[in-house]
Amino acid sequence: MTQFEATLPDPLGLWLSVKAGELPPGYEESSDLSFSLAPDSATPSGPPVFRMRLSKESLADEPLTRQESEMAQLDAALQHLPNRLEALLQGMETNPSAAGNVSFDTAAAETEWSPENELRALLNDLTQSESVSFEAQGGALAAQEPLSRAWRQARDEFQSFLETINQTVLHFAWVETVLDGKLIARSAVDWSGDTITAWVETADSVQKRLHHQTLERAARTRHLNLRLFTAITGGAIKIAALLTTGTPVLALPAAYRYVMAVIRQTREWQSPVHPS
Amino acid sequence: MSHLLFPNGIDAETGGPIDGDLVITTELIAKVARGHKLTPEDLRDAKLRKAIDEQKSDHFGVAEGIDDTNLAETGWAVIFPASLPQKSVDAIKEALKPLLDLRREQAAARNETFYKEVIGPELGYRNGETKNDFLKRFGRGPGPADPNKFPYYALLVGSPETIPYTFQYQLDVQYAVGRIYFENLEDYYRYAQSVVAAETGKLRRAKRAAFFGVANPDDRATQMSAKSLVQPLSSEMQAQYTDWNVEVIAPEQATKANLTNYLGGKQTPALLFTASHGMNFKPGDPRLLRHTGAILTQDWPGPKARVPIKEDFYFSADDLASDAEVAGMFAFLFACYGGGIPRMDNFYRQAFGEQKQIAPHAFLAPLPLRLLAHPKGGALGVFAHIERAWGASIEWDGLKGDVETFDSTLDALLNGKPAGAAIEYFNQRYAEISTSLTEELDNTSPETQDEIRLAGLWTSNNDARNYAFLGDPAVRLPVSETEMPKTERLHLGEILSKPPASVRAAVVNFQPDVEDRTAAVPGAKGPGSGEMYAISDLFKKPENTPDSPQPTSSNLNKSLNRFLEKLSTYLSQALDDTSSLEVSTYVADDLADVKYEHGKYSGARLRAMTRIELDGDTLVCVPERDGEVDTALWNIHLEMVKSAQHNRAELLKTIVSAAGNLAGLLK
Repeated sequence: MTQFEATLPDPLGLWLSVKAGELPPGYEESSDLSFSLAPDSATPSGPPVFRMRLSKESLADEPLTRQESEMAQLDAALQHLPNRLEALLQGMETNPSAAGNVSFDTAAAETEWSPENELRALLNDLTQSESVSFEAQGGALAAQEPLSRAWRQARDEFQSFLETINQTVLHFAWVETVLDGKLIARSAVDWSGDTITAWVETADSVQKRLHHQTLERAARTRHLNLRLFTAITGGAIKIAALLTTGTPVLALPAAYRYVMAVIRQTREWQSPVHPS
Repeated sequence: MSHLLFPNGIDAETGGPIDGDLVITTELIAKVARGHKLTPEDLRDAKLRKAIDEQKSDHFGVAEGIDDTNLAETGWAVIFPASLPQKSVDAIKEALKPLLDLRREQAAARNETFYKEVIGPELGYRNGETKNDFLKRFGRGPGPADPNKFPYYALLVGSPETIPYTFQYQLDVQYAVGRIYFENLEDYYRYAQSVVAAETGKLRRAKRAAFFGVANPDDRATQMSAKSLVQPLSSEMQAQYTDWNVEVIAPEQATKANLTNYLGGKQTPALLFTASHGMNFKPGDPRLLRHTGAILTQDWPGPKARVPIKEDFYFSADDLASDAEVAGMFAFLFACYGGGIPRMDNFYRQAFGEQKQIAPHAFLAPLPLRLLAHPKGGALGVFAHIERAWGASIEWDGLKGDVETFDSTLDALLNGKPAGAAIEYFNQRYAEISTSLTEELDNTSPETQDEIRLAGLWTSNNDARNYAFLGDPAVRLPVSETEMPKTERLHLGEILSKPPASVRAAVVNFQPDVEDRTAAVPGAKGPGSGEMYAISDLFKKPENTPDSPQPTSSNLNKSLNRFLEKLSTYLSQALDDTSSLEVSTYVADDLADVKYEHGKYSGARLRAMTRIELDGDTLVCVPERDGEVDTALWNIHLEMVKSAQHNRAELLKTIVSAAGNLAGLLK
């Protein structure tokens, strides 16, 4: 069975999150290339490891073809996401509530779970619930954040998402291919694409191709994560334009929830659900 | 009879002189000069300096018997603003560590106290202090530098708002002073590494100098500087330094396109001297912080055209390419505001008794800063002018082509003197003219005063005072018979593109200045922001500064800011990194024995390597097995190169998209 493992949580669900375990030789020495988080971070400070683990028997599973399809669907979902959100927000704008404001009321909409309904619910929280001011001394920062549980949860999730992609996207990473329990290749990949690979002398062309595919998957994962972040920020800007109060920064948790719901929906439509 | 005077500055909006319709005559200057009084303290310094200079012929500044080229005898100090938060000081120190370690080793070789870190609320420079107040705290009064009390070489680390220009001018009279200030922590690291590379023989340039003299049509100031400064100075150099290749770029060739060749392009010399107008912008102009002091080139059709100045007419920090090869060079920029600008116009105050604000805050010009902190290796120092540069300093009192001060400074630099000691000739000139001006005023009455002479003394006095050195004052020009091989230059670029983890980690604690002044001009980017920093600047909001109050009940802003800050650092580096792509392939019998160290594998054999430069240069090492090309390995290596190129292209697209969104996010 082929398994795609990563030592950090993968927001896209393409890699199975595993513990870092024993570090390969040289990990400590590479610290000058890494990018440690502040001490209060909950995430590990070492470089992430992306690893494909497979056996000779599982080569016939064609997991790599399947991953191509998964990534293509996520790619398409992210590409269409701005239009999908735009359509939703336009709908809200053209169907204002009785008070004349933009309506985020889910009662008026379908009750079935969907990314759109999840967003409506959060925005309803934002406009309806009691707010607290975070106005900083000197007026350096003025923001209103709702107190609802769902909102706080979204905010916390977005915060850990930031920490995760901070590590995944901005670190240099190790990419490894393990065949029948034996490491056949390891690459150090700078985030800008510089790649240094060490192969075992005996690796044949099939094994080399496997590692090349692992590298491809890791690189695409990083790009998708960065695109995910871009989709969230773009979504926050659109959402904020609809709000009478608040800033795009304040809309980020809602945009995060919406984008992740779309990703979840996309993955649910994929059959079967992976990463293992 | 009254004569016209021409400062070297042009107003971008009108294409006319920076002083608008105000005609500056010797009569007006004489009026200013009559109101000019040095403070007793300044006058004492100037007289003292003049007396010392008259006694000594070979060196000045330091006490007699001290070799001003030997840091073990002169000492070296770094001075921070006292009010800068300690964690930001620590961050800057971390970035400057290579340079501080080197200077400590040199200056403290015989006496530990000869190396000084003047840092923190107790020791650091306290805003408003005069030079004498400052030195008094170290047991030193006026007079030549005594390294037992305070070192001769002093590097100021701070903006001119926290360590004012006036303090720099005053201290410079007897000490060798330089200044650096950057708004990105990595820039400190880049500059420090460049200086250390030069001082340790790892960075050198061929003996080439270039003189770039602009003479715009119908423009007296630049025609004068081309004829009476650039021409005689370059002739002197050509005659005196026959082992140097001294090139003179004639005015008709002194275009922006051609300057690109000499500032970062293939013609970049070890020493570049430019004489031109410097750009000036009205307060509120979004270009003010980005382009003040930029070099107005021959492309400008001259004052009679009265056309607004387009960016095509001048060379600014934005025009310095990200792959520019300026490492190890020195520049001398003769232009108004070439080194920086004060907040208030000193001339107006003295002429009309009025305060005229010309900038939201005092700042260093972006072009020199971008040169010093260039990601491919920084220039080592820039001699430049703060405020107006006056043509009368070159051609005055009937003397034309009297360029001895410039000549001596360049001589000293070419003969291996540290930059801070080389610029002492301007300090000597300032001291001499200051005392002459005071004597002239004291010994004559307005009725008998020669206005032309008085105006000449005043402008020359201000002009000489306002030359400043940007960079470490102890740095020297590193030259050799030949240009440094490209591979070595690339190596320096690699070092600079990857600051150590300790510097990257310190970014979160870095606060460039005591106050955040980036929002002072709407739409303007701060000094030091070149093209490559445009993306970084998107992330800079006042609330991002580490000391700003944060909503403690939510870590969201903190996390977001931290992420954006780091993303910004990486995006900037990525733009540099994208100038080359490297894919290496190693093999080993057992990967368990392979270690990764400093970008290479040890315990494995390098079998194939491809390095692709942005300009198309490609370096390829092809694997062999038994004297034949190892086709299997080579094919997979090529596939990986292709993938890496594809991924790089995708990354760049994503970066552009991310940057656009972040700009909207932070509005």
